[in-house]
Amino acid sequence: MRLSIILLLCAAPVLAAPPTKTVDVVAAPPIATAPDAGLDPDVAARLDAAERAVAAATRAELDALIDRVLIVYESDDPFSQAQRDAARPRSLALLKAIGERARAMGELTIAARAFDARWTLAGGQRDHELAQVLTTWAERDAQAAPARALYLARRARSADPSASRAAELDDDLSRNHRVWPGRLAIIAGIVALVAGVYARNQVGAIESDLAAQARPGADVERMLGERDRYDALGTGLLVAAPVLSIGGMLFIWSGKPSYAPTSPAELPAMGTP
Amino acid sequence: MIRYLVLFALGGCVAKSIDELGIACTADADCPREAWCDMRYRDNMVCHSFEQSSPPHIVFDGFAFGQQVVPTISVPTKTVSIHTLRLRNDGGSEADVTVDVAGPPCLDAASLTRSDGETVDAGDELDADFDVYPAVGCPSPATLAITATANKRVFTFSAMISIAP
Repeated sequence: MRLSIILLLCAAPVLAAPPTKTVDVVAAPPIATAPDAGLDPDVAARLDAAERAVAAATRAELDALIDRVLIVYESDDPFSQAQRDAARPRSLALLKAIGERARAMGELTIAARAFDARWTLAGGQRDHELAQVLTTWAERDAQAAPARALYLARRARSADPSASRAAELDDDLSRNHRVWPGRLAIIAGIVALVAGVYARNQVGAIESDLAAQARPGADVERMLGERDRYDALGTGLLVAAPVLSIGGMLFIWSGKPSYAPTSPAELPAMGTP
Repeated sequence: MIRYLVLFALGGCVAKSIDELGIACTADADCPREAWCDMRYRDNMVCHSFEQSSPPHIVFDGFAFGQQVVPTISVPTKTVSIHTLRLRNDGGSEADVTVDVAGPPCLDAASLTRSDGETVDAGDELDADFDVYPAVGCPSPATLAITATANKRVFTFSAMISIAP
């Protein structure tokens, strides 16, 4: 019983408290955090202004518009918190409009930020548009910044698990592309070793045959020529064998992705609300 | 493992020489062009390269007479006398040399060297004794046929001797 009480006391501050209806002020009546119905006029005015500005906004203005929409969700004061649910439908629509406008302008980063924020606000429901934008961004940065591209591809898969291109990118950036060439080199090294040992055995067999039985000089010359060919071949293969095998191992080792998924500064657009 | 492989491979780079191979032979014709057949030991006749050695080669210098070597000698008739042939191995390897001396029927000549051969190093000389007994009426000068066999290689010479009455 005592333990249960202690656990409840410890957990109490952690549990998300619902927005308070009023804010107590010393020596004054309590202040309501939100009107009884609808949005606070200030918030509504800010969203109205943002909606009007979207269509003609420049790149920098679009970025600022996202900040203006998200301010309600990023501020911890009771007044902002009290507005979040009421403002959510208009915020989602506005973020969608900003994202589409940015995408049309070719501003991938801003579009991704807007769609990413919308996805987070919507509770992580499947978002095909976000996945598309993130995938495009990942494709663009795959060569120059694979760590970032890997993050973008994985986030795109989170936004839309059916996004096949994002899955391909994730797989491509996560995988060691040198495994099979390296394995082939190792196998070639083993084959070279076996063939080299065989050739060297042939050299020994010819030498033993020459020592065992006298034969005409022409035959001896022919056998010596054959022996020299096997000797050169065997020696070459035995030198090549460790070079190929070790080279293959090093090639595989060098192909291991040396990066971890790294988020760009713009993402995630916001923390979990 | 890798170290042994590399050593093995490098060992293969240095191909065995003809002398190391021990190619079996019964005559020079059984050897590669750049080699000769060493027939000294019947159970181990192998090819050797000319780069390392050369076969024995016997030459006849003349008759040893005191401190000198002379091309001919005079032998008494109806008397056994012993003389010396001066042979030389100017080849490039040691040889077991047997000598055979023969004359016309009226001249009884025979080698006194060991039947199993005298060992002669490369560049050394061999003084081979022989005896001779000319019968009465044997024409003079007479021709001696000398056969030297060195490691189964046969060298033949002839020398004139005069028969004193």
